[in-house]
Amino acid sequence: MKLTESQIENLYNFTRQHYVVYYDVQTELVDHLANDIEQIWLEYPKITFEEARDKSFKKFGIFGFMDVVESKENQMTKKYFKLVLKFAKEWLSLPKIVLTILLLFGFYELQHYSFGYQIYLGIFITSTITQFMMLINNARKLKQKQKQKQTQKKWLFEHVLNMQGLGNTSLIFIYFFDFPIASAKEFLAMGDFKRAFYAILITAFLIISYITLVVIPKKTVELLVQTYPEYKMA
Amino acid sequence: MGNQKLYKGSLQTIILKLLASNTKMYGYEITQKVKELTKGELKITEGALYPALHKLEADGLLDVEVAKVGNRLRKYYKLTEKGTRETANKLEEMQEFLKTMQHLVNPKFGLE
Repeated sequence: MKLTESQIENLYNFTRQHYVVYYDVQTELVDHLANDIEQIWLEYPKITFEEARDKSFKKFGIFGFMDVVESKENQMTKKYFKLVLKFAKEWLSLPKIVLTILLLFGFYELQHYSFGYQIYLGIFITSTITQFMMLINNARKLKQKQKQKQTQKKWLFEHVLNMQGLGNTSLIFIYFFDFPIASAKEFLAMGDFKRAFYAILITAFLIISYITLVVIPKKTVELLVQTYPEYKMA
Repeated sequence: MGNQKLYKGSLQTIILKLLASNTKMYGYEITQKVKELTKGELKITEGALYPALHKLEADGLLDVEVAKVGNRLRKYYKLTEKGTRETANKLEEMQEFLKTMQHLVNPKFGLE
């Protein structure tokens, strides 16, 4: 016996009730449950849909769908950072590498001036704040989209692209830019090694900010279609 | 049913091997196939299968394809090129492991 349209819908609701909020994860679980229920019916033709469904759900163990959701989240976050890395690599090859070298050189030279310190701090603070602002803005946009479309379809990678990725990047920035130099004076007194290190760090910040704030948001739809062949089907 | 713990570390190899001989498969199909091949000796649990599949996908070893089957969407997994290469490596590792275990649990065997 095959599952009906409304029973499939019931399974989608069932996954939502068990804290699976993303449509892509729900879809995989619904198909799994449906197959299993049909199999269970072959063995026990008399039990109801709900009984078969609960029987199948039990097989996921005491944590239910949690492990599945968690592994999917990890996978998508990994995917996001791989993407950032891929775009970052472009900055190390022609023609962009020319700009990268100019930036590195420029920032290195900037350290000879007392206002260099302010510029460094300024860049760091501006890019981190912009990331946070974009995060808040994206959260609002996603919510609106949900309302407009009147659907409950949320996509995990869309969430990662719009929010989790940005959030993680800004957190990494904050960890890395634990700026140990207290004043412009100390900044001027840095040794060559430290100078080179900070020039590289601030250049990397600028490039990564550009990727997360400009490059990736521009490609969101394209990336989603690539990730989810079903994005257009749904 | 044997000791499932012993199989646990080999889950990824099992999945890769199955996909190497079946082009594309979906999650439930994998659990059923394993059950069938091992005559019920090994049952892959749902809570272990999907995290393993997602991990392999994140590592670029698997690719996905979605198709509408009847009234629902089905997600198929298949090996990428990298996945095919990795399958060969993992199977080789597995053979080595089996040999080593054989020597360990059956020392006479090794001395001959």
